[in-house]
Amino acid sequence: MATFAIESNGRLEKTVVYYNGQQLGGIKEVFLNLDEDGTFDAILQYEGTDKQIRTKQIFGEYPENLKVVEASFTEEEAAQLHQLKVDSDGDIEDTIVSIDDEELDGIVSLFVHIKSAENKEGISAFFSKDKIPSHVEFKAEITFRNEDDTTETEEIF
Amino acid sequence: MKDKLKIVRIWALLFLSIVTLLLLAPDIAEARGSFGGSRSFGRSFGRSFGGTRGLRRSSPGTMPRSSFGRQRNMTTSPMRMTPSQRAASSFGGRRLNSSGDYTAKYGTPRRSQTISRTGSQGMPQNYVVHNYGGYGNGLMMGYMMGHTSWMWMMPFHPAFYYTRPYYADNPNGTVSVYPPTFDWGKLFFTLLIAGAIIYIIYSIIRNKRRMKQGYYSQSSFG
Repeated sequence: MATFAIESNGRLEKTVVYYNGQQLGGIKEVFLNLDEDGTFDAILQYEGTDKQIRTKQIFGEYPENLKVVEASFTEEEAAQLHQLKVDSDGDIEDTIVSIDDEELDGIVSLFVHIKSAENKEGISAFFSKDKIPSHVEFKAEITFRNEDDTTETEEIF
Repeated sequence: MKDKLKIVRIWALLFLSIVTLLLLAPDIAEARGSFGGSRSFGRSFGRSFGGTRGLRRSSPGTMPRSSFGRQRNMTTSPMRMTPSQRAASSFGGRRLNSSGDYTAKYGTPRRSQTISRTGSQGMPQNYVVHNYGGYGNGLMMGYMMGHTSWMWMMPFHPAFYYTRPYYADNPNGTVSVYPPTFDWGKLFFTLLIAGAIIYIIYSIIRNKRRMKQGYYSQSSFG
């Protein structure tokens, strides 16, 4: 059973990823697509300590050479953020999702796709004043089934 | 809006590159003539030697094979060149309509001396060299004696910012030679290009610093 968590305010510049409690660096892409029908895609793409780009199943494979970094946020800063945590062994039947340390139930699906900006290349990169790249992928949604059998989709961060 | 700005910036860079090429191309082309060969008055005199006499531009398909018959081609005959045209082709100067064009602006020369040299056609030519003193005078003598350096084509050398010597035909068949003058346009474009290069380097450093310190400082991504 591994624990994977994302702490964010919905913007890439304040988004950190934890694997088994340790904050990671060099993350390129996170993709979580879980639903009650058994779909379980949890993929992490990262740059390892050896500078190699790796793509791993978060709960099915051991992510070697992970870049572990110091905690970015103080407690006060962390209080301004939301934390999504997934505890799982790779099986949807054995998966617990928490938001801000509160275990959730009645989840129909969970979809998270966060992708860092591609490095700009070429001469235009010399002149770019953009602090935030325009082509960042940041989507995090969770769909619940209500007691009246209706479904409701919420943004996580 | 951002895309438009980028396009404008890229066009600006292209414009600067073209201006740089246009600015340096004649100098570089002329500088090539300074290398190799033997020392002579001017730099292209050596080309006249060897081979057979004739127009370099002629080709078998376009020109008659014999010098006799047909009509004389007046436009391409080197004999129709004025003395200063021949001189200009020898050491890359600027032709004046008359000596008055120069003296009206820079006054009368301190002294003038006549130098006789063999021209590109193998004929003697008298040059009246007007001495005004100063740096331009040294450059003029350098060009006339063929003592030029590739460094003169580099922006860090003062000679780069001067024109070529000026020439004017005299009624008596001699050619007046006047010293090069400071070229403010060249200085302006050089500063413009240097500024653009500094700006590009500054932009690269600034963006790298921002990426390192600012944007991704509190993120696992990047």
